[in-house]
Amino acid sequence: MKLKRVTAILLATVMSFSLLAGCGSSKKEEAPAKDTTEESGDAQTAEKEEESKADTDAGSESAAGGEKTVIRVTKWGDDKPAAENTLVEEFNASQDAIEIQLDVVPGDGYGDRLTTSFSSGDGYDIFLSGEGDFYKWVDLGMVEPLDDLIAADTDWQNPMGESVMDMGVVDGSQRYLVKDYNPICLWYNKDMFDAAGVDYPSESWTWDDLYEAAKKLTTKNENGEFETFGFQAQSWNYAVDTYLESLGFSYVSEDYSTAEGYLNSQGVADALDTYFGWTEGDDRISPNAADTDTYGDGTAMMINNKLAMFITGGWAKTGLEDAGVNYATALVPGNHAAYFCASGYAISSSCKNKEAAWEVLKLLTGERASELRAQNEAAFPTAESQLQAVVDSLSDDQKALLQSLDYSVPPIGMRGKVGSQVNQVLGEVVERIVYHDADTMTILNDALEASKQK
Amino acid sequence: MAGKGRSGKVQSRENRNGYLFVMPWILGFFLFTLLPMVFSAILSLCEWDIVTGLSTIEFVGLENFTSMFKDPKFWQSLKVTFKFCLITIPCYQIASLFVAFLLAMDIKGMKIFRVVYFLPSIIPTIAATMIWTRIFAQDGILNKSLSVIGIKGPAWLTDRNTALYALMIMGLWGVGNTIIIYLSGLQGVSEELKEAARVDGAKGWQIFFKITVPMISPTIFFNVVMAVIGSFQYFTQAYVMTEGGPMQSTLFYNLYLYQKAYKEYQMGYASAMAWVMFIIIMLFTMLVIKSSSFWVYYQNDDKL
Repeated sequence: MKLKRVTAILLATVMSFSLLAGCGSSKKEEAPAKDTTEESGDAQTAEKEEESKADTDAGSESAAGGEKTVIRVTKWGDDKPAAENTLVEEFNASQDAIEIQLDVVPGDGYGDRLTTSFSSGDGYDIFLSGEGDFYKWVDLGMVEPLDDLIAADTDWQNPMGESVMDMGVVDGSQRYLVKDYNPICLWYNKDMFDAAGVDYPSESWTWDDLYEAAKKLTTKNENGEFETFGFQAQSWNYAVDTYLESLGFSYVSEDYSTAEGYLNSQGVADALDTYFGWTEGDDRISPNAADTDTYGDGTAMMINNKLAMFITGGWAKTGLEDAGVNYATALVPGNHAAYFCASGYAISSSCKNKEAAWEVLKLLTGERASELRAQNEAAFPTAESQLQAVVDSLSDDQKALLQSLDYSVPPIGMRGKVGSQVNQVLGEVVERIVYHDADTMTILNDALEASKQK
Repeated sequence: MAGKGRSGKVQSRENRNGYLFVMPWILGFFLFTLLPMVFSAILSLCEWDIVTGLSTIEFVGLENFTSMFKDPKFWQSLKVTFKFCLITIPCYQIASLFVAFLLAMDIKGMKIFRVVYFLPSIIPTIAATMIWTRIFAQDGILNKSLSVIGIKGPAWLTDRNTALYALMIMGLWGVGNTIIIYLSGLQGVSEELKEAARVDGAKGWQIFFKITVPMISPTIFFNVVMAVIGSFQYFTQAYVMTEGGPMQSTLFYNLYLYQKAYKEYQMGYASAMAWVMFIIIMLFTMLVIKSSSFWVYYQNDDKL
């Protein structure tokens, strides 16, 4: 009977505590010495080992007695090894003061994971953000200014040029260190142009030239069904906004102080009507939402010789090359202005060990990080020394991707508070225009009002 | 007396052991159900952007509720949810009962049919939605089938007039659980009663409506209550397949609640929405329970 009681108590206690599992602390005892330099040869396995090591360590008493500062880093990603995996592995093995715990979250769930981690008060010390959210996180008070840390670190050899550093400045304060960036330009399928006997896009192209070419590249079969499309007028905001910018329009004033008269200007309304008009009717030159549902996104359609041109960033390169597509890049028609995409790391304002986090931040955006990214990733690395290697590796057909940087303009989300507010309502604007919910000017006026509530 | 004392001790020891064994559940209930409920009730009267920690919670009284009733998206989400519930609850019940009736027949290979109808229920929702996204595509199986009879089907999920109906059609696929419950109910209907009715000259449909349906009315009652609760909380399929679009035509209540909490960082507003939904579900569930005395027949008078 006694045995039964003891068993019951033990079982209940174990089960109760299992409910509470997961609570941790930011400092932990150092684990007994391990051979962390052991090469696994597989970054994914290395990451799992890292996690399992962290789990083991968290519950163990230190034999050596030393204390490591744990810095928790999160980024989005998939199961492919990224530069961060190698960086973290090398860093953790190289010194005893700081331990980095890297948490890679699938892209779809990244925003939610970030939000919930911060809401619990146990957020990450360092997190990755896309440029579109740079202002938003700062506005929510989640991002630590880096200016003092930079000023105090007189030994820091900043590998980035001024323009790249400036991408991480919000309201005059350095908040992010950009890890990579990606210009947007026009991508085209050379084989489809050749087959249709149409000249390739050139620097002198206007949007009218693109439309005329796209008309020739759009074909139907004998049943009247579309076989190919000349250009994809995507609903993706960055493609829409790049189109507007290349026509000289902007949603906000030059000093980013207001959207009144910009977002709801007649020019913007007319341009949007033209752009989305390309996706409608029997004489359309662009796939519509239903076509995209059927044939896949722009990259998939280009791979299948269904799409001749679309606007996208450098990330399309890998997919097109793997599929053996004979593609090339060109500047966006018009004045060539184009958005760029960037992602940067920030130290969270809830981080308790800012100096240690700063050391990790430097690692994640430093020379070695750029070197690894230049070797394996599609985006441009931030270290000037490594950028040249990437530039040299570009073929003539890919050069426009680089040229496009000379014409790049910051995405709307990076243009101050007003830009960030406008950015939050653009998705609805596009949807309403596509579905003809009202006339475009009314939709833009509504969006202007809605943006003020954000 | 001594024996009584010993038995009392045994009783209290057993009680204590019992409590210890259920303690994990009780702790889990308090920590992960009751506490969050109390917290959300408090939050519904506060403003909180969720990402800046608990210290920034600010009391705003009933503001969340008043702004909710002025929010057109709130009303749209209610409209979508009610439309979905009003159509799917009766349709799914009738369809499930019909299939269960067929599956209750005593013919060769019936077990295979039962497995086939139940299979979709064990497929993870996300996997099922991926399959159905392809089925509903403009060149998907559904439209290809319709084209055989000369109907040109729409792009179901990108057309605002059809997206909600597409989700309803998809839901039919996953009624296996309900079918199984109906099947067990049907198998419990006394053969003697049916036989007696037959002897008295009752026809097949009369037996079904006058004998079978009343006899399985507790099962119908259970399934309807579960359907009311489940339908009002519809979320995953819309989140994965349509994200509330096109043009808010599939903006389910829970989806909008989620967007408010995790996309717009208005946890107070989202909590207020959760409580409004809680009240709505409770009201409708109570309505079904109250009405049950008129249409549910309990053989042994074991009413709720």
